[in-house]
Parts: sequence; structure tokens; C-alpha cells
Amino acid sequence: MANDDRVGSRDVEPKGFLAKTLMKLYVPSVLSGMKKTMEYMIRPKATLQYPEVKRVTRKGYRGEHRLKQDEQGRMKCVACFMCQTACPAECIEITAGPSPWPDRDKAPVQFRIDMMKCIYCGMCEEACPCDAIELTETYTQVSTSREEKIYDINRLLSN
Amino acid sequence: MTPWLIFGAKAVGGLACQMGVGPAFTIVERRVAAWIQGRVGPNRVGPLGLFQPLADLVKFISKEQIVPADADRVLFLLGPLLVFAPPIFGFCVIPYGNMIGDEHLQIANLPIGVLFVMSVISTGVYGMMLGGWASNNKYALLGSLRASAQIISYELSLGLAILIAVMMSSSLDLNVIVEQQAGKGFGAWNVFGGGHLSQLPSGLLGFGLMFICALAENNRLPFDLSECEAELVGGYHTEYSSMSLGVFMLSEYLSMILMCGLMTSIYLGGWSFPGITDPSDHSILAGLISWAVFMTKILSMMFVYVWIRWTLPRFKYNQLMDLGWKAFLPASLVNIALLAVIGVMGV
Amino acid sequence: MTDPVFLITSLVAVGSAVAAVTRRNPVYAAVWLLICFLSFAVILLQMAAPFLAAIHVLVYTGAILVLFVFVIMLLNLKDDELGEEYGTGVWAAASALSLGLFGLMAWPILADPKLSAPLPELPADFGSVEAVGRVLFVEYGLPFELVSLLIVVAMFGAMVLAKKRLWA
Repeated sequence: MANDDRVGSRDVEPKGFLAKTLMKLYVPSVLSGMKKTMEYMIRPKATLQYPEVKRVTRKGYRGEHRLKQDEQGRMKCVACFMCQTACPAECIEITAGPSPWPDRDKAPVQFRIDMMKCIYCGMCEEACPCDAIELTETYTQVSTSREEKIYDINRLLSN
Repeated sequence: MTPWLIFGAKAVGGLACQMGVGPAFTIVERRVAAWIQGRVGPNRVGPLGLFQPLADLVKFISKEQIVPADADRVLFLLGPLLVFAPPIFGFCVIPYGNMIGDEHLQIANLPIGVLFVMSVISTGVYGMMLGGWASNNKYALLGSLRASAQIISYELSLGLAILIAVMMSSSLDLNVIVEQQAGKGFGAWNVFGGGHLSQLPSGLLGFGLMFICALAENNRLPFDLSECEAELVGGYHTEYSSMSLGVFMLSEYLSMILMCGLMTSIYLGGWSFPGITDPSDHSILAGLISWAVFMTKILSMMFVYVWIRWTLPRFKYNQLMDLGWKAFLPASLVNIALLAVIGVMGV
Repeated sequence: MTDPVFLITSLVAVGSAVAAVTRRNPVYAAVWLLICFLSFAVILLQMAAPFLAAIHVLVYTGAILVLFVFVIMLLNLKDDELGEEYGTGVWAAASALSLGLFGLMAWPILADPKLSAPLPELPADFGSVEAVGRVLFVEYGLPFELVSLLIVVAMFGAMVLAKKRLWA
């Protein structure tokens, strides 16, 4: 049969009639294959039992966004539109209004991110001068409609 | 009345070996397949996924039974039954345990047990052929042609490999064959020469040939060309749905159990294991132990079947036929001649 | 003739044989033939010939009929390729001929005075593998070897027919 040179893939030439015959009959290759599958059988499995066990995200994982708040519970965002400008997917839509606090001029009235458009690149986080938006490690948020996938300001604050 | 009760008990016991293990083995097959592929496998239904066969059964039964428009209705529906019946029929003569009292743990004690199993196995191909033909589907027809050609080719080598064990035991009665191998250590097993060291090569070669031919007879990988999904969709059961597909699947396992039972009985000492079973002890406890030994042997052989299935790639059809006719048949004939010479010389 | 098992199996055998001859679809004919062969095996078992019964099933249903079905399926004839149905005259003539043949064989057997005499006692191992083997290989050793020679010749013939270029 073909590929005789690869049979058994051993460096040493088989010696003696019995060894040569067994080699010809693929006995060593079959046995080494079965040894390999047995190794796989008893080795720990890669599968995670998903809903019960969740994969631990590595540091720096880019999941859903969150709008941050300072120690007094005020949202950090000053509605500067830097993130909206930086966003390559154009999924951020900010409506600015006057700030209720004296130390800044503006604050967002509405802050929407369309999660269906977002490509989770993290450019918004990098662009933000006030460290007000960040990507969390949350990656499994289920929605039952497209509208639900457009997160508004409250959703982002509570994320 | 009592003989009928005893017969009923034996029949229930024998059927339990086969019908209980067959469906249960589907979960073993799926779990082992998953493990070899680095997955976990079905583990949701019941503890460790052990109730998965029940869920499969419910799924099979609740699906719609479709008969293709141009199919031959009678033969189409007859096909699964013709595949299903022979393995159960053949298991009747396999001794599944030591004697309890005066009764052999065997449904029917035939003096020609080995021949009976062989003839029953040979009729199993009709269901595949007729089912595949009646489907009125080219793939199914090709699958059944392949199945029948493969099975009749390998039946010869299988028969000759069985004959080796029969020659060693000089009996066709499965009870006698098993009892000759029982209680005398591993050397008495036919695979190790049946008590004569000079017969050791014949025994090993015969068992090896029988094991490979059994793989081919049962259409298991690496010889499952009749249902080879890459070229033939599903082979002879392409058009089947619902429980009739389930019956095809189940009978594959049943015939595996029959084959493993036959191999265990004629080569691997049947229900005996040195140090565990005592052939002269005919109590109920000893009978149950011998039954457990027999089932352990069958299950380990079936585990090897599964292990091989997920290790070796499928053969080509010409390789399969070459192997059967040009390698196994001459090898078995030479083996028989060798054994006959050794027997006549009385070494 | 009082044995119900014999009565049923022989009726099944005759009925399925008739069905095998009269079916127009060759696959159905083969299925009826299968039933016919299996009932033969049961009859043989009843006649204390278990070895012959097992070999009958093994050879006839397990190999020969499988080959029949194999060839029928390979040709896979459609209804219009099966040819014209014979007329009633041909059917009647064929039936008369077969019944005549059957009578020719049955008549001397039924007329034999030994039939009414009580059956001789069978030896204990009648029909067993040992008995058949002894008769086959010891008593009729030479005819057996001649038959095997004949089969070898037939096998060579098949090879010559199958090979396109014999010495290639």
C-alpha cells in the first residue's frame, strides 16, 4: 500500500521477519494511534460547563461599557463628545445639557451606545479626558429585541 | 409449569444482557467519543448524563415516521425489523453465566450453538439490503449494496476464524467450549492456545482475525463504508426517520453485543476468569459473579470497539475488499492448516 | 402428519414457494424464497438434522440468496423493463408440468411398502456434526474430494471469465 515510508514513523528500521510483517500490517501505527487517543481520553477537558462555570476574562478584556461615577456619586462625564468623535463605528450618541454641578459646564442628558454597532475597540475609553467611560469585563448580556441593545444613560451608569 | 418459569427467567436474563446494555451503551459511545475529542459529551440528562438514552428514545418516538413517496412501503417498514431480530435471536445460545443448580444460564442450549450464531448473523444483512432498496434512493441503494458485499466477504474469514476456536475445543456447543476454558487459568483460554502452548500462535492469530472481521461484519469504523456519511449521506438508512431509524441504530449495538458475546465465549473464556469464578460452584451467588464477569468482558470489548472507531480513519472500499479476500482469507486458511497439522502431530 | 409444527412449516414452505414463482417483482420473489428457505430449515430441524439445518441457513439464505438479491438490486429493473406477462395458457402448461414432475417423484415414494412399516430407531448421534462428518469424510471420502476438485475447476472457470486478459 501507499505511503510505506510513513508507516509507524519510527527512526529505527524494523529487524526480523515478525517486526517487518507487523509494520507492514500497520500494527505499530494502529497501536500508537490508540495510545494517543487514550491519552486524550484521560486528559482534562477544555470544555467549560458554561452557565454554571464561566470563563475568567483576562486582564484588559473589552466587554460592555460603563459610565463611571466619582466618590460623591456624580457621573464623571462632561459631555465633551471626544468619545463620540473617536468612535470608528459611530455607535455613541450624546445629548448634552447644562451641568447641575458648579465645577463643570456640561453634563450628558442622554448617552446612548448602540451595542449592535459597537466593535468593542476601546477607542472611547482612550479618548476620554475625564476617565469617565470604560469597558468592563461583562460579555454576556442577553436582549430580546434590537431596541434593548441600544443602551441609554441609566443602563450604562448601572453597568 | 416450573420448566416454563425457569425458561422465562433465563429468557429475561438473556434479554436483559442485550436489550439493557444495547441502549445504555449509546451513552458510553457518545461519552467516550467526546473524551477522545477533548470534549465532555452529553452530561445533562440525569446523573452523569446516564438517562440520555431515555431522552433519545423519547425523541425518536415523538418524531414523524416518513415513508418516501415512491418507496416500497411494505419492505421499507419491514427492513428495520429484519435487522433487529437476528442479533436477539442469536444471543439465545450465548451462555451468559455459570450453571445455577442444574440450569445453564443460557436461553437455549443447542449442540450446534456456534453454527446457529453464524447462520443467524448471516441473515442480518437482509434488512439492510431490502430497507436500502425499498427507500428508492440511490445513496441508500449504494449503501445496501456495499453492506451486503462487505458482509458476505467477511463472513468467510469470520467463519474460518471461529473455526479455529471450534477446532481447539472440538465442539460446536458453546457451553462445552466455555467450560473447557473455565477454571484452568489463562492458558486454557482459546486465545492463548486452549491449554496447549503449541497452539498459542493459532489462537492469537485466530482471535485477531475474528476481532477485525467482527468489526467489518458489524459495519463499524474503520469498515463502516455502508453508511459512510461523507459519500453516501447515511447509507442504507438515509431515508429512515423516527423510531425505524432508532431501530437501525439500536440493532447495530445489539449485533455488536452478540459479536462480543460470541468472541468472549469462544476465545476469551466466556463467563470464567481465573481466581474469580469457580466452575464447580453452582450456587446463585457464583452464578451472579460469573454473569458479572461475562458482562465485564463484553463491555470491555465494546469499549475497544468504540476506542478503535474514534482512532482509525475509514478504509477505502477497494482496500476493504483486498484486505478481506487477499489478506484475511489466506491467513485464516493457513492458520487452520497450521492448527490441523499441530493437532494431528499431537504436540 | 399429525404434528402441527410440521403441518404449519410445510404449508408455509409450499405457499411461499408458490408466491416466489408467481411474484412479478423479483425482489418480492426473493423475499418469499427467503421465507421458503427458513421454513425448510425448521423442517430439517424437526427431522433431527440440526447440522444440516444450520448449514442450510448459512449457505442458502446467508450466501446464495444474498447474491440473488444483490444481483437483482444491482440491475434494479423498472416495471416496464420486466417484459410481457405470460398468458393463462402458459401458466396452465407450466403448472401441469410441475405437478406432473412432482407426481413422478412422489408416486414411487408413496407406493414404497417401507412407508407403511414402522420407522426404524435412529442412532443416538443421528444428524449430529460428528455423524455427518464421519459419513462425509470417511464413508464417502473419495466422492467428496472429487466434488471439491469440481468446485476448484469451476472457480478457475469463473476467474478465466472474469479476467479480461488472462496473463496480464
